[in-house]
Amino acid sequence: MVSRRWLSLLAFVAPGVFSAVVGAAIEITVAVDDIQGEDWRLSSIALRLRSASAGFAGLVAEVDELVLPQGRGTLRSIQLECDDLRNEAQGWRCEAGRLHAAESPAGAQETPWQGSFTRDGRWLIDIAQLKVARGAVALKLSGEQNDWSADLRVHRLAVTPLSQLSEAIDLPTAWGIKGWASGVLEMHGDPSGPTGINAELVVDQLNFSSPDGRHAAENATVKLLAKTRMRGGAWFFDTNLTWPKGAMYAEPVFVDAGLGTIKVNAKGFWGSQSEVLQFDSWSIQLPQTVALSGTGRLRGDAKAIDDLTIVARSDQGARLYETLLQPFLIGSAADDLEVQGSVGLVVHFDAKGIEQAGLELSELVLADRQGRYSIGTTDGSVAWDRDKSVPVSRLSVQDASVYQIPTGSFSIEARFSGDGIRLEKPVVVPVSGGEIRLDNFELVGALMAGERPRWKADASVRGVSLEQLTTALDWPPFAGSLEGTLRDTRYADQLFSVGGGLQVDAFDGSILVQNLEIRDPLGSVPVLTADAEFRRLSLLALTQTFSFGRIEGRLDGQIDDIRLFAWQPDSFKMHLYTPQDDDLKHRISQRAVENLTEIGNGISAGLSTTFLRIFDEFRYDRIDLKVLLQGDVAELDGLARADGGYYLVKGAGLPRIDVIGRNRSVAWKDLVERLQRIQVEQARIQ
Amino acid sequence: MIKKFLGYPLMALALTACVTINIYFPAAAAEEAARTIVRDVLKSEQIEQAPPVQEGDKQSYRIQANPLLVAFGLVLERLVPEAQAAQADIDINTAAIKAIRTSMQRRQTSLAPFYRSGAIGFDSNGSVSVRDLAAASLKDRNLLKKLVADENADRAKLYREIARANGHPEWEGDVRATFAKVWVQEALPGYWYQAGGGWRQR
Repeated sequence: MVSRRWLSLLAFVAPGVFSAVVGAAIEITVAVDDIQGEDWRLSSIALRLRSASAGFAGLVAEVDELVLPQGRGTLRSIQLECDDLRNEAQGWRCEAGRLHAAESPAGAQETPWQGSFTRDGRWLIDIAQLKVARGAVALKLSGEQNDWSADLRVHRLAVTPLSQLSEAIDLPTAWGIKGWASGVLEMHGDPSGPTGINAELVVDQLNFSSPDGRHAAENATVKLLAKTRMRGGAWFFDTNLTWPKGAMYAEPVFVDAGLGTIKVNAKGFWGSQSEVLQFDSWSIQLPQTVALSGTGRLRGDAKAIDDLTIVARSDQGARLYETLLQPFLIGSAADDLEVQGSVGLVVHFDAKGIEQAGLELSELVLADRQGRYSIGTTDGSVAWDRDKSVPVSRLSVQDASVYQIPTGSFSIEARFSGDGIRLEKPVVVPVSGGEIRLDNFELVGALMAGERPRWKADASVRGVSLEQLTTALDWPPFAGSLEGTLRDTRYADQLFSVGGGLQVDAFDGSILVQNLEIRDPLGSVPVLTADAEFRRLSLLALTQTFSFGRIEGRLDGQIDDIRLFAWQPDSFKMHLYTPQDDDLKHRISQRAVENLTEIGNGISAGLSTTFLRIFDEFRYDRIDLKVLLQGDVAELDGLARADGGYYLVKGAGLPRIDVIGRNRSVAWKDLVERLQRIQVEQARIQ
Repeated sequence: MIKKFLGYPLMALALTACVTINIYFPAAAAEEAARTIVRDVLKSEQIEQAPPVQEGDKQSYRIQANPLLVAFGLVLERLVPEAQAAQADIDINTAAIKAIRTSMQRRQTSLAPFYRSGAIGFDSNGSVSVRDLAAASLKDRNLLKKLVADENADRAKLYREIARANGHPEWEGDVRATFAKVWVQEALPGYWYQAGGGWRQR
């Protein structure tokens, strides 16, 4: 806006000099010292108009210095010339003018120009070639009565210096932004300001990196096609942005246009008075990854979400996961997955956050690359609502696995609402010939931002084959089955715990596992703690399973304070012994004696070299083995003997064989090696 | 004069009494244990050993003192280290610690290029911090973030587990502080580490 101050100065024209008449020629000269506004100034202005014949004139306007507003720089030694200014029927016209500036923020300028001014109020200025930001700009300005338009054609302007010329291009100075801009910018308006802007711009070889590296682009090409109109106090826009080349990173998302041109479209309006940004439609297409679309309304300076709908569709689960999901899951157990399948998602936000969501899965397959778990071929849909009740969601899973233990197919029917999930009917998961039945399951906190996910469940285990289970885990195959009730099973703060006990029916007896807890079960180093109690195990079944040599009789015992770290024993306190009321025969084979001797002492008994080799088996009174593992060292013990040793096997009858341990302390590694040496047939102990 | 004469042993007693506090956290043994683990993790990258301590350095710590005081101090020194030695072993050979060390060793190969490029460094808290994300290529930045998250999770477990395995869960903070120092001391040439609130390169 021009201030009153400079208008008064113009009227004053301090040392004004004008007019000389020589024959028919007319020459007019006007000189003005200064014209200035609040933050701009013109110094030493001279205007010469010379006319040698009617209808023709020469014009020279000179300005020593022009200080641009808002500190945008200074132009010096400006000359605007037109030797051929014609007065035609409609008005004045200049066909071959020249504009010169020795110095400007964009460097020295030398460009031809054309212009016209008609008597009915139309005017046109066409400046052919300005040098701006290391590129070229052609500017055409025109007006008619109150309307005006500007047509700006730019060719390979360097983005960084360009941003120094215009306040509208507000780029972070520390980001090292480089690139070349070309295209057309058309504006039209009236005295109140612009009323429409059309742009067709290409930014090529775009590179930048924020100082913290959280935002960056490499060799990107971005094309913008935008049409905007001011109507009823709002700017209506229809924009189309394509990104055919290069890569960008906006923490934590990395997108590379190598798979095809990325397209972004948006149509809507911006109400400057109401501060409403309305998207009637928008879409983002990441080729071979995902197509996103929706509507939206943002409000206020902060562009807070008032209403937003996102519809996502992807047939490329792998790329969807890698590009848009995994970056947000880093540090969780789901940050290293292989994914296949199709996903459809609808999410609706209101001012409070996510209000509704719907998910549709088709042939989705997830597999943890570290082999901890997998979910195979899953189909179905999930509906969730923050406030209202929702229809039952149904998912069917063809197969799954946890730590190599495979499951059969199962289905889930549940309601997802508020901050949790509740089962509509029990989930029955077939496992190793039996089943795990999930009767109640409540997940809380997983579906709302800022909550800690935690769940609790009641489950039961029926008829799970230990043989199949142990084979899947690459353990020595156990006979028997797993039965039990897992009451009050919980997961919170990365701790999985089982309130009830788990009973394993194995070796014709039972093993009761209690106080089972697993910290960070899907982490890199899970920690398992538990206590186990053995009741009336058949040594015959046990020793046959491990091909240990034959022992008949029963075995009781307990393992307290079991602690496995990354599934490897770290510490425990074990005591296995013959129960007092055992009514079975107590017999032990020569081979079992040899093996027990080796466990206790590290060397074989060498019975085969004595006369005892003629006996296949011996009678025993009691078996007693205590192992206390702490870190690397296992302390061995058995029935106490007066001489300092301990019985592992206290013999009975004739010939009597006692297996007596002498070593009390043994490296755990050596003990495992002894057990591995005992491996026979197909059994292997690890 | 007599008061002054008695003052020396009392002062020595006071000083050595301060040392006995270390019984509760055996700093030297912990540092040695930390050095073993750190070197083990970094060994694939290690090209130089730390320079040996110069004799001159030791000399500079010797002080001239009253012979009686020295003798008294030596007697106490004989007694106190024995008390320390009884509890000074730091066990790092549990299955738990081995599992974490293995996990960290496996990851080191992937982390090493980022240490060398200056994208990450050892921070003053015994963890790994992103120093200059821009030093990693765009496509590697999320990989880097995952590696750092996993490494720091393992380090936290390692410090907690060492304290627990040695029967003193309350030592976790001391173990972490010890490791923080040793990671920096053992940092390989070109690696970055935090010191005095800023980053420095070894």
